[in-house]
Amino acid sequence: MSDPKAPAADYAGKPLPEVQIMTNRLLSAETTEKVLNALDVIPNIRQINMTGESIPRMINSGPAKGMANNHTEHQTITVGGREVELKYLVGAFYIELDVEDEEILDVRLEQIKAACNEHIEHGYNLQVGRYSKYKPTLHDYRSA
Amino acid sequence: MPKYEDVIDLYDDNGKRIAKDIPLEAISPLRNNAIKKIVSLTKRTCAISLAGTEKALKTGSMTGGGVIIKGKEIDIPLVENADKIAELVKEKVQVYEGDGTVVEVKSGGKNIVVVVPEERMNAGIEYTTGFTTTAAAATEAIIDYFDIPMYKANMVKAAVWGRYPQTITFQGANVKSILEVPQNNEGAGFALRNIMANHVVALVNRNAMQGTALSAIFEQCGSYEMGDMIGNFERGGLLSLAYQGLNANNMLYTLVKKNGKTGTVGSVVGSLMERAIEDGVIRVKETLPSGYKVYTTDDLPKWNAYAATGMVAAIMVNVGAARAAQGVPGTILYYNDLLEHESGLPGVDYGRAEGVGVGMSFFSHSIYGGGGPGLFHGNHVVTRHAKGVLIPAVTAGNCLDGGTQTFSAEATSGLFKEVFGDLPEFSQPMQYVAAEAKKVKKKL
Amino acid sequence: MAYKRQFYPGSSVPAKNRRRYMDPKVKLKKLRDVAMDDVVRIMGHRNPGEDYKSIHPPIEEGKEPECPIRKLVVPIEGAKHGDRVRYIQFTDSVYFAPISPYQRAWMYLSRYRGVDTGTLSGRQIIEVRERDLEVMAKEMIDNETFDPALTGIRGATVHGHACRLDENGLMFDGWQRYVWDDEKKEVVYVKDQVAIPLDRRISVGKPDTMANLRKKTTIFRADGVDMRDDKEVTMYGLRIHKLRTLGGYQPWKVKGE
Repeated sequence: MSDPKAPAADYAGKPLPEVQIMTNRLLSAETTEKVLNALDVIPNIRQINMTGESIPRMINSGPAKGMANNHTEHQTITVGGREVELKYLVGAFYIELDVEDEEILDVRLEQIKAACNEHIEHGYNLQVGRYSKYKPTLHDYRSA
Repeated sequence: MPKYEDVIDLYDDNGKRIAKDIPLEAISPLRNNAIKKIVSLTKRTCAISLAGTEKALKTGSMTGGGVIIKGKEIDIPLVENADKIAELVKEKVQVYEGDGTVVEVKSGGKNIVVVVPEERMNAGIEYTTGFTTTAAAATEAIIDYFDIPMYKANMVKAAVWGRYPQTITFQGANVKSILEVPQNNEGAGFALRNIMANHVVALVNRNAMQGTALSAIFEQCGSYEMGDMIGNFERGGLLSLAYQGLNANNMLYTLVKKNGKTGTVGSVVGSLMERAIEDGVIRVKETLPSGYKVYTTDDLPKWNAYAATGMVAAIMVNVGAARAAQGVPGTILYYNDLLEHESGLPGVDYGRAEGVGVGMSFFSHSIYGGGGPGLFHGNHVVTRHAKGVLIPAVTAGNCLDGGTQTFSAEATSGLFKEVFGDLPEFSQPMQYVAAEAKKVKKKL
Repeated sequence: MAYKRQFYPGSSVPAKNRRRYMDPKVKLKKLRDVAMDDVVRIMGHRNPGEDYKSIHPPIEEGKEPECPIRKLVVPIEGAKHGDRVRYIQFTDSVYFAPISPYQRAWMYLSRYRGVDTGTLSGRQIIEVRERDLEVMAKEMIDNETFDPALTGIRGATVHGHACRLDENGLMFDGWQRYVWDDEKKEVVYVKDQVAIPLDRRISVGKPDTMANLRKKTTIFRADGVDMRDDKEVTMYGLRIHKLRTLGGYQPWKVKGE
């Protein structure tokens, strides 16, 4: 779910910490919305990326090809007043934190855990590290 | 003195004994004249489609691939003059009177069947002599009889031979051989494995037992030719040919009879185990805490022949009950897996048949392009690994199809039925091989 | 001597369950009763009440090609009528579904005749003459090998067997052929197996509890019963591997192994 206003790939040139939250169950649109809104108020979050299992808008093969899928969880949710179209049944969040030191990082982590504990009923696995690119690599220079 | 101690009784397709106490060697392609004759006729017999040639010359549409050569069409009544052309062909093919040359007009002149004499085969080293002799003779006969001028004669060549030599195969040819060109063979000795299951189905008029026998003969001859039946390997191959192909000791027939009405692949596995234990081929090695008995054998090649026979029986029961050939690969795969789990002994061809079942399921179910199981032969990239024992099962399944296949034997192989249909060596190989085996027995 | 089939080695729960499903003498428990017309709707090959289409003329005794085997092997009903060959395909979740695709093949071929079946990573297709298929399909949906949450009826786009479950415990389906009825606590089919919407909602009942599923499953898992902990099963795999190898080398030398 990349936002057009997301920072460019080479914004920092150094790896900021990323929090990976892998949920034990795939989350409904409603739960995803709650989790995101609970995270949204935490300071120092630079961006949140999500992934999960794709829910196509249309049936993309077989005899029903071209029909609307009408998946109940393919919804537009509201996060911090902005509308976000959910194309996935979300199963992972990657939260990038713009923090200066470990002390603040620990505080933010506790806030993130609290938000998750409140809304993710079936549990999750949380790790801190770096899971996405933060500077251009050869791949970014190839011609399209 | 026979080379092997094994002695078998041969039974026909109706479960009737036709030869008793036959030493294993008597069914060897090296000794058995019926098998030799089948092989010989397979390479020597070709069909000229006069109707096809006539149409190609009249329309200029020839050599396949939608090619039409305009402006040089030749309108000549070939079918009408079939007898005369046949006479000319015979003159050219025959070496001397009584050399075994056959030239026969079929279907009111639409086809001519040619059997090229051994003398010609012996003077060369490639089986393509059958094709090249027939094609060249037909071309010349047509040019001569209809007095075709030089600048149009090349059309006759193209109509008869097809696009060869621009192509590797005789693409679009109106002369047909049941064998492919050697360049299309997967490797050395694959010629007899490169015969589609559907062709065999057509040759035996959909008789599943005879189809299994003929395919087993082709495949095991292929094994010799590939170098797979030399030395210590020979006995294993012959045992498979005997039990799986030639209904030795009536095992195949009995297995099917026992399971025909209500049986499943699983029940065939049970019946085979019972038989193998009774015959002393396998025995319990140890009983594990759960009660599971691990079986072992002192004669693995014989167990393999038993397993291969069970595989054909499983096909006959499961695919036969469906009267639908599509279940062939799946049945091969899971029969072997069920058998391995049941016995703790390896499946057919020491696991290779099961492996082929996986790939063949994939290739015959439109997942990877089209094509039903009838189009398969032992020269295919997924089938070639299980040598000798796999294709007979495929043929058995296709014989039992009730009309579900797009690529049916009738659609793909009608011509070969006409060509070989009258020859009992091809329609009833079990009887012919058994009769010859009796003769060999006396010599051993 | 009547041989008694032993099916599969092992003393573990999954091993025992495998044997149970494979043994045609074991009558599988019927857990639900989905109406035959609804089974036909979910498969989507014909409308309920509609005649069976045929692919070839009916098989009449005496009119088949001259073949002794045809006389021994009785065709299944659909074959006799010349029915088309149709399919049903199940997807089984790795999260302790009652059965897994590969064991379905073993089970089908031990229990039914006239079946063409094939296993892929997470799904298992059965192709049978249509009227026989319908009987089989109903049995498979009604009996204990089917769990509403962890077994999917999916003709195409079967993705989901190895995905995490959703919050209601249902196996993921991008096409959402079935939904969770939170009031009744049941799984309800709203689309047929290729995702064409159904004109009615078809309930397939309540999912089983995870504790029960762990007792019913044929699946070995590191967080359930590890296959390596069942010595007989491990031994079997190694044994077959070894004998295939030795057989592929010099089979005549393999004696009493």
